[in-house]
Amino acid sequence: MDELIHQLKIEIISCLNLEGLSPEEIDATQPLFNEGLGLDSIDALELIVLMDKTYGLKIVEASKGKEIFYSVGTMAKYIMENTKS
Amino acid sequence: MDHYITAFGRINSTQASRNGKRFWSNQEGLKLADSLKAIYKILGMNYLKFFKMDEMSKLGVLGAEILLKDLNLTYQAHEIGILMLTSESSLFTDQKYFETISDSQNYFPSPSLFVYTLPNIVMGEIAIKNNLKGENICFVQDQFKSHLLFDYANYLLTRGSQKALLLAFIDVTKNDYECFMILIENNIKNNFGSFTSSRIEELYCNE
Amino acid sequence: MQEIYLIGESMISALGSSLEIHQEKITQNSSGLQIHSLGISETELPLGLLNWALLENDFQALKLNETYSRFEKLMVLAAQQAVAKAGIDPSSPNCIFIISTTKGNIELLDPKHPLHDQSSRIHLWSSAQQISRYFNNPNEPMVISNACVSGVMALNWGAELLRMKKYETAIVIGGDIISHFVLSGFQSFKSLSAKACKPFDRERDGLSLGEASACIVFSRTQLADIALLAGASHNDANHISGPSRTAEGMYYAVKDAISYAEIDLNQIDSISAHGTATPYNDEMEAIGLQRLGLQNVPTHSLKGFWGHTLGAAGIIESAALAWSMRVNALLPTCGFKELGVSVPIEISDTISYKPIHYALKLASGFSGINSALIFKKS
Repeated sequence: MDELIHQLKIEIISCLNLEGLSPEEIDATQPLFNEGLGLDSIDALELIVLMDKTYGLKIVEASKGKEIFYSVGTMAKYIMENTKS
Repeated sequence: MDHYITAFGRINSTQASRNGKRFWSNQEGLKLADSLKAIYKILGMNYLKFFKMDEMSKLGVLGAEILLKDLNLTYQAHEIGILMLTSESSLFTDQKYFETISDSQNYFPSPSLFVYTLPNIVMGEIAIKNNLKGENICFVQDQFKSHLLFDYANYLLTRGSQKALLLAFIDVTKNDYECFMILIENNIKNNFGSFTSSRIEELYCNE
Repeated sequence: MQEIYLIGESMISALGSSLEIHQEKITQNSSGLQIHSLGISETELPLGLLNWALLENDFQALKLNETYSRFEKLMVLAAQQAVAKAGIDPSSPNCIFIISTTKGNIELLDPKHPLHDQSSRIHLWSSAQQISRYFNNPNEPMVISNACVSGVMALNWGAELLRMKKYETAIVIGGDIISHFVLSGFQSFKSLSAKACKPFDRERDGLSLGEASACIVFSRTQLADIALLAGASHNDANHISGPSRTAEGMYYAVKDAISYAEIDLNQIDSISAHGTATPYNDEMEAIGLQRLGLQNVPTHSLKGFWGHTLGAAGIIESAALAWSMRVNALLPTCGFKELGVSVPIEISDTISYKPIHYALKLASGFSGINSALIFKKS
């Protein structure tokens, strides 16, 4: 799980062009949107692409997205629960 | 009311200048992305959204920063407009977006690229960064046309709703890039000439 | 503000390729949106596609051969129809072409496209030259590419050029076609509805894309019953892909347009909204209308007939609005059943008749831009 979280942080920084941010500066429980990392609606859409492209997970319902993309931790949990390794 | 050119600036692959004075030279021969970052640093900007933009928007936002940085415009937000002209439109980013959809085996259309596949988005980015809520228009013509920018600006200024206008010519291609901007106000201080088509042409060509 | 007259119009959309068929289908409240499966993802989606096979006859009649892209053929056809109605000489040096499009020949990016090698034609200015050259017009065509307000802004600028006495007539053509490029982009934006779009409705959940072309010919001197009085645009400075929650830009655009038209807000009889049927757009427009005190003025959106037609939208919807003013009709909002915005506004669901003297056209687009036009019937 920790490894996945670290990996996700790196991917998020790269795919959302979060310049100057290091993985260590993102708390896994910190909200990604609004008061947290300050991501916006286009970032959310790009996270949907990331989930599909890297983890083969298609998120169709926007309402589900809110829970999944709450934090890096919730994203990792969703990936763990939905990918068979 | 008479209008004046109160600031102008330029960024291209060799230099960046404000009011005719060069403040950055591309001595290391930096490519587009690195040049934009270098100019961002020199301007002392701290605007993380910048790094999410496509190259055309970055170029436009830097151009606007060059002009507006030390000016304290006292107009209301909806009185300041942006007019732009481009010949390449958003093709540089269109091509990048196209690459995310052209391989059916690796088909992941990128929303954050797609949003920049419109040339007028750069005006949206400049508007957000500088809180400019006035008129916007984007023309796509084969080259710089001072008379077109003049005519449109003159139309807006004459009818009175717009007190200041940012006029921009922005182009990005695979091998080159250019941003030329001028600010028009009815403010005689700090003026670089009366606002005429020939004066715009002169500033564009002579620098 | 000097009146600039609409002396010829044309509309080509999923409803058909003549003004008459558009008038008939709009009166019947009959949508041209149909389920198609397109693109690599092959998702089934309601789209407003043109009947290209049928249009081919029109193209051949105009000798539009394979050196023209399908976008250019469509634009020429729309212009040809409107010019014929207007009875003007499009080759005159006193006539200017203004082209409104968001993506023009974007299909040429594909190496497999037969015109891919014509590398300059992917440039909007080059494609515009191809279009105006067909009519032997000596002036350099102007291209306005300002997202979904392009059409409205092109009309405004066309009229203004005539007020400045630079030209006698202006041929303003708007168009965009559905390409894999545009379709995939809107899909990635999750802004497409799985059902035909329902502007301002409770159940609206996104837009439907359409392809169209339309043309309006303006004259400074040749009188006609409908005139464009004024227009204005303002940016929200809020978000590049989402409208302001307070309808900031739309509010100022309408205020300015009304003031330049030298009329009062309470003289507006009919409103053609942008009405894309995305939750945010329609909500923003409703809030704006309330802020302006226009909540009781009959308002329609035409997107349910032919979809969101991007660069064509402002022109095809203005052409429909002009017709509705002539026949004193309040147009229906195809797809609308029950109001689903937070403020009470007056959305017309069926066609009804009432004298119309002044009408307002609204448009909003990516980058946060909002535009408004005021039309007058004399």
